[in-house]
Amino acid sequence: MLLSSFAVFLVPFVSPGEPVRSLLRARMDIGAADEATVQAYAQQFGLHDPMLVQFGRWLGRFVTGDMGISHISGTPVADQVLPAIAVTLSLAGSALLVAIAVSIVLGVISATRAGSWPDRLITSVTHALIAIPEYALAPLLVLLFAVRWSLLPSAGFDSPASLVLPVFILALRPISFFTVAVRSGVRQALDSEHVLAARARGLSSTQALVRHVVPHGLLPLWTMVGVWFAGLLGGSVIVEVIFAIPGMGRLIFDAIVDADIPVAQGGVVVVVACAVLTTGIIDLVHKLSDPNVRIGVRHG
Amino acid sequence: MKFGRLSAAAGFAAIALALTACSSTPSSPAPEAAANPDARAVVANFRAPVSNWALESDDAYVLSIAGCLETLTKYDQTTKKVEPMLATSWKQASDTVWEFELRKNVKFQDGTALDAKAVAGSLNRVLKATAPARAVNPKTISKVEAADADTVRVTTPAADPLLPYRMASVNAGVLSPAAYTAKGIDPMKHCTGPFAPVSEKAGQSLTLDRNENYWDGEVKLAGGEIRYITDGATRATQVQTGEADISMSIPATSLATLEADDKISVLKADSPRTSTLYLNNSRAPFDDVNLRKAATMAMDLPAIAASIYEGAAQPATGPFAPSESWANPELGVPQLNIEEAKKLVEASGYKQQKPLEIIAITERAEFAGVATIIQEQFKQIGLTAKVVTKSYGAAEPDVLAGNYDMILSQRNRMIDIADPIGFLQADYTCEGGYNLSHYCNKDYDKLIFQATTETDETKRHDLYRQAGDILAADAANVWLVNEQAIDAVGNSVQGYVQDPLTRYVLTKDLAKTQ
Amino acid sequence: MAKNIFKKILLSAPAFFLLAVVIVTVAAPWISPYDPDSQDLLNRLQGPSLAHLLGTDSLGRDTLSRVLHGGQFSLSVALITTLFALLVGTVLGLLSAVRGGWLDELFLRVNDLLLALPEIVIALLIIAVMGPGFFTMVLSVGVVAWTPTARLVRSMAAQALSTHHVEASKHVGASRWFILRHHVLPFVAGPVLAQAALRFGLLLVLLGSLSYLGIGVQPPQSDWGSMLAEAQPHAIRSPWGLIAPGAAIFLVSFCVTLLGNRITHVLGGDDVLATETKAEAHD
Repeated sequence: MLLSSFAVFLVPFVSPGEPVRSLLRARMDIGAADEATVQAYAQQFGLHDPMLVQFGRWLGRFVTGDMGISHISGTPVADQVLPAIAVTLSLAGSALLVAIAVSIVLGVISATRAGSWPDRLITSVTHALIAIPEYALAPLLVLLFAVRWSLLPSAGFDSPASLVLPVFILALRPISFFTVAVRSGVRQALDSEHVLAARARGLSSTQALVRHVVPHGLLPLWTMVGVWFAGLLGGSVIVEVIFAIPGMGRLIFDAIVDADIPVAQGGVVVVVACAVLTTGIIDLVHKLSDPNVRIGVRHG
Repeated sequence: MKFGRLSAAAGFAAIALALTACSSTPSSPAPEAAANPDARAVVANFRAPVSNWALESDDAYVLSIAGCLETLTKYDQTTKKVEPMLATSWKQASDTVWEFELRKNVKFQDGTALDAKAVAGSLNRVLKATAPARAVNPKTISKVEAADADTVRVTTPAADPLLPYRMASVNAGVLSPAAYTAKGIDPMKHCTGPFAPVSEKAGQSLTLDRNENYWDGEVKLAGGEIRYITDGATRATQVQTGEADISMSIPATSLATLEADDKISVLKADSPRTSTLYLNNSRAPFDDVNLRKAATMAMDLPAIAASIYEGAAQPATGPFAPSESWANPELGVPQLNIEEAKKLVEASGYKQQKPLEIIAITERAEFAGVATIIQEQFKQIGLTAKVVTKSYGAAEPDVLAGNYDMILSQRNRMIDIADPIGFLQADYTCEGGYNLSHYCNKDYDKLIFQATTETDETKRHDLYRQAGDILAADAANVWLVNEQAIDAVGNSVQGYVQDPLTRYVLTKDLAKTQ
Repeated sequence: MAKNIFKKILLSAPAFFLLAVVIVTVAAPWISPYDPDSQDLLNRLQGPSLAHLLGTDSLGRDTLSRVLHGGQFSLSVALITTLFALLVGTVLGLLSAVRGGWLDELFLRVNDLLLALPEIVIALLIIAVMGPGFFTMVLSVGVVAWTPTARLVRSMAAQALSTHHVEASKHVGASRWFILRHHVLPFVAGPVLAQAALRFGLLLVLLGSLSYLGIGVQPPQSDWGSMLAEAQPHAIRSPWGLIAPGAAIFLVSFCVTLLGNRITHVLGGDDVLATETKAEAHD
């Protein structure tokens, strides 16, 4: 986390152009800021101090829970980062829920009928989904659903309807990976001694599937959900840009472009923290429900 | 069938263009159906507030568009004059002192009365800002005080005939004293305008309700919403789908589509922006006036206007748009003349050692296309050029230092005040703080200096015209096209008057049917 | 046996398609119907016709010619980045598995960090510092792209090193290099190659997104991503400008993934997507 925030910090020191002028431009369009203004503005935020002094000051404040002040708006970074992370969490969360639901259905179908035509179809589809460039699909969907048929909003983030397209687009790639994970997990569970034993005890195949195979077959899925959740937090830049959603990806993108370093730092640190937290939780859950202990299925 | 629709759209575009050429302020159709008093209008705005509503920043424009923020004076697009707004009259007490008489019985939306103290308080805060506003700053205004309850006294460092214009600038807006909190500016119900902001979704939109006690009479809409949509194509889509009633600043690329849509009216007006190929006058080759002239002659301006700008811009005749009262009406669009340009290049004795660089700034997507066209044209007159795209921020230090050949950019001539003096000073005088072309001509400087103290408007505009003629004669830059301000308005909207200076959108007269 | 495997992998529809794409892209200067940069302002935003099979863009340039030429950039950046990821990932993964100890620990930490940071944010940071360009694109994406390969190599190498063969070789006094070459690399190679194919597809899409955002390739150069960005505002009038480069990215990425999948299948493995899963589950 520290490393990443320091990396963000370096940007204005090594990139071309004058960072203070780019801050002023964000406030007042392309325009003439005279040298005195630039100096005064830099003074206000202590931007003339040596790099390490600035970083130390930021760090000192950060450990007390203060993310600093945006160099553009002059307001606390937290006021910008927290609403944005809330938006992105709901976006990424919905996308993952959709992906989980879809992939369980597809994965179970394809695992229980391995080699059949539905399995082959599902496998092809999962391979196709990861190859879709979302920045080509999204404008096409907007064209169809918003402009042509007027079914859904073209942009924004206010109604459940406005979430449909962005969530769908974000869910595509996780659906592929999740489906494959579910398929292999369920297949292994199907072959496990435990399930064979259950079948021997006289459970019908459907009962066995619902009670034993699916729950255990899904274990590999949960690990992936954690990883993907982390990835989607900042990885939704494209979708947030196309659909004008005020989320984390766009916040960080804009902050880096405008050289508003405290906001970029705060954003990156929060994203990393969320990511570390989710992978940690998933890890823990995973350990608590270790399949080796509970049913003797070897995973991996 | 597909082609039929396309050519119909093109024909319509041509007609619309011809129409706007004669009408000065386009507005949406006259009311036919009855307005709905409960209706709310959604405006897709190109600008998102980023400075916590600081009035010295461009955020003030958002409050102005929203029908919240008002100023002492107002520049009227139709009369081309400064008119009363929160002040009813003003007079020059001495060379440097002005007195503004406030309108009686104006109340802020929070119920407190507008008085001279509140006005002075708002203006003084802007004057003290670390990053000062362009039109209202300590260099243009030295002091603002309350002379009595209804009189505001403004002192300028030097005689300034343009002060009433400055008081119309968005940065001179007035908010209730309660708006200034320890955490910054809170605009909620703290303006004097027809609409009171009631809530904001950060980074998304500002919601407003009708101001029941508006000083200028009944407000027709129940409320409105300003959406911050920085992507032009999305704004165009939003008005097409009906999600927005008014979309501002439609990019040229979306124009034909919107014009073909009969649920929408597209309004155009000259904007005070001219896309310009800035030439570095301070070093070879463009320190030679003949090569600058050759560069101008090499351009097919009508073709650029028709293609990349899709007819959403007019070929430029010189440094000003023809509709501006200081433009020289005798200047025509420079003619494409490859032969003559070639001769000029050959006669100059300029030997090209490496390709000239054309910088296209990434902030304006169309410049990349414009640059490739210019590159082709230059090839025809025997000059090789290469295109470099950069963000404006990355290019600025080199450009200001005179370390470049050509840059495509555009500047607003009447930013903040409806007079080009600030632009003419900063961009073309020898000592100008924003003289990208590093142009310097003592005759020009003399005219501009004279204009700064000229109180008579006609005479002042005449000085501007002469100055513009010098720029054109020196071929300081290649002025490419005058951009048009384009707004798209849904058919249920009534009483919308397009403002090319993007100050007023939600007004008391705006209404919606159904 | 080996010959047979190659046959199985290469004699397939995706492989033929990719071969065709490569040939057509390399031959673009000779076979394109038009100069990709020559403008025809009178024939802008045309739909497909005999003269322009995929129509024209907003400057009247031939879309087909631009897709062919744009492919040179898109495919070469993706290929170089993939090779970079493959090389760095394999070396670091092997080192980490063979040496273990603090090196392995460091490897895991760095991996965790890069895994937590979204790829596009990292790319953004690097581009902000270095300015856009061919090399920056490779670097900005390559910085993260090696991690899945490295994790896969590390876990598979560890598996290979713990087999009886290796124990036996060690007893006979075989060098580390010998063990690596004879026992580890052959075991690792297949899945890693398959994963590299998958990676190529993912990188093609990711690199396109940088260009789409305007921070990748800079005009007058263009690739499929920047073509998409240019075409988007005109999409209502001329969706072909959007469909053509979008389909190009999709089809190439799809076929490469299928090819990767074939490799794993022929080697008796599972789905190629699982190579990423497996690497993650092992950590």
